[in-house]
Amino acid sequence: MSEVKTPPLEKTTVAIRGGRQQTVFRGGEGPALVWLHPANGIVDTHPLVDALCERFSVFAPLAPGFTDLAELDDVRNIHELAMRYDDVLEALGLDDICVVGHSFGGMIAAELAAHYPRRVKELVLIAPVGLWNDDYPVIDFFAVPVPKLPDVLYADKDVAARDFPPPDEDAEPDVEMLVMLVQGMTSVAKFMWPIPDRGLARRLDRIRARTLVVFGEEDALVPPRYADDFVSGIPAASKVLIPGAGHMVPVERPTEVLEAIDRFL
Amino acid sequence: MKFHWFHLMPYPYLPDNFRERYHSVWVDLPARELYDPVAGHEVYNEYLDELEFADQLGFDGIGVNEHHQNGYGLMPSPNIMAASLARRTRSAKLVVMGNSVALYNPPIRVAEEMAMLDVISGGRLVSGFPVGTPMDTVFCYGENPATLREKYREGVELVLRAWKSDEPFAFNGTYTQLRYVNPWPRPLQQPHPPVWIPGGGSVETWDWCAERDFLYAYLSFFGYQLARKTMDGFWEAVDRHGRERNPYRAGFVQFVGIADTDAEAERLYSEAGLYFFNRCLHVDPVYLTPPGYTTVETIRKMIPSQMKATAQAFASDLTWSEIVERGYIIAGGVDTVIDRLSEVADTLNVGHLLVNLHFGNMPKETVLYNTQRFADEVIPRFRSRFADWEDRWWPKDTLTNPAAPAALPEPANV
Repeated sequence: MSEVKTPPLEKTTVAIRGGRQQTVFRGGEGPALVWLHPANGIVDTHPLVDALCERFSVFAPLAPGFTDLAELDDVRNIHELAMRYDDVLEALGLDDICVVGHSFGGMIAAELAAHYPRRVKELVLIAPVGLWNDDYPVIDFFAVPVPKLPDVLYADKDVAARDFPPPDEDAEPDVEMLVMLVQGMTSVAKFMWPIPDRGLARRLDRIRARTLVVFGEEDALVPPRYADDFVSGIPAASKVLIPGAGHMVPVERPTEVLEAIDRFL
Repeated sequence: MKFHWFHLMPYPYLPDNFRERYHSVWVDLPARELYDPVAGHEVYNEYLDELEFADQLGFDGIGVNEHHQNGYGLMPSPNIMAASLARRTRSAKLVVMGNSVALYNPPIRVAEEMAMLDVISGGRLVSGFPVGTPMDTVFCYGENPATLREKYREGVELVLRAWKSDEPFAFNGTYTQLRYVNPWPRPLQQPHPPVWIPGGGSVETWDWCAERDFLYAYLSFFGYQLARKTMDGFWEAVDRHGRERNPYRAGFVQFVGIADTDAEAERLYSEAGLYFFNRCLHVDPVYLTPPGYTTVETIRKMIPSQMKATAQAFASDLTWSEIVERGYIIAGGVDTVIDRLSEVADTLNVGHLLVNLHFGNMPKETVLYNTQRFADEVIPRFRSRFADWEDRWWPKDTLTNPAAPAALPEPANV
């Protein structure tokens, strides 16, 4: 894990079609790489993203709705969401790009690569959602009580304890913090409720990108068996399973994930 | 002031160890394990008898509502219950506090069924359009919480336009596209039955009701003391839209148990009250707060103390004295009931009171006793209250001489 002096990602806005403004976090130097974040958005420090910033020029678009739910009004379905990301990459001049996405971000990355196969050259899907099998269903993320979230998201209890410190019962509820959380989760729900399957399985074979699928071996949210479904559906894909890690594998085992990405690229 | 006899129709045979054994009365409560359809047959028929009895005693309205996949209320289709009531009741208005419009595809199904009810009943329908609880809408019916409210509003506007339109029209909505909107039958009441919006305290509903001139019915089971802030918020919205604080544009739910004395009330009603609050409201909190169901505006305006009190009421094992002290149930002698209901009417300024004289697993004879005493001793005391105000949220085209179910000829004579 790297020592970070200042937050490596800086918030910028990019004008896209229709006069809309899109938030894109940027940081680091080197070849361009796109990071698509999971349901908790862009966080101040993130061991994998911070490390990626040391060798890549990282572009991290904030998913529509996360800071203003009205942004979701003209992103009605998964196709319009893929189109929105294509618009953003177009505005940034990013063609033939490497896209890395985690969880919800992994679903978007796969949808982007399936909708616009010429845009994405390399694809890294970390614990992605987007597929469904009745025999090993994805857990209902939205019905997990908050106290149980660490157990569902993490296999490494120490990392879980660091990321989820015990709540201060006496503290006044931080309404703006709650609003941010709700906006993010609502945005995710728009594309994942009630079952995170918007037909991706029928489009996986459109993906041209060389693809790496990474799962924590003990992912309790998205069973790691889905790695095989992604690999068999995408024409040029391979998988890496990382022991001792759950759904938050990029923060539980950042070094191993980074090594896997290095080997792949 | 008007009084409506409102039934929730709970399943009355949830086991004693319900809270320990099951995590939620709603969404995934196992039906095969707990619901006995033969017992259910008796239950439905008793419940319908009770509503029909209220009609006989002169209650202004009899009320039903809509909930799904739960032991709290057995009316997934409020329209079926209202249809059952339409033929054997004569004068009470049918206050249908379903239909959760976003759950019907296409929503003109609601326009059709409610028009049927209005025509069959001779113009006695009050049409309620709740968003629906998060359990019903997003968990049981899989509606997307991010779009539920927008879909609901679009559906309500479509239903109203279908009722009012002079000719067939095309509807190109975000959630519904119809080339030909032209429902048969059309409602008997013109231009349409009164619209009531049952709400749970969302701030945008206040403004919408005030703007569109719909009745707002606050459905809280946690008493008039906690309801004060919500109703104040509604009345402020009414002011903002330059409308009068006419008490008839508001409704409120109140549980009541009448007896000769407070001690007698405890004997008669405590078991049923505890059953309701500790079993029927035993909802897993994850089902109450899906992301997006509660809007950002409501989160910002919600009072932390109110949030806490509601969460506690759902989460804790209540005692009878807590239930009575907090006003969740007004229970006691007639004078107590009249005093407390006066306080409700005054503090909340509500012209329409939906009274629950059945709750929990109350036996039928107790329900009939409670109903009879309420009709005889309480309602007359409130008849003149708010008499200066015109009630524009009440059926006005009701037929004065409606058709009655006819005596059937002997089969041999047909």
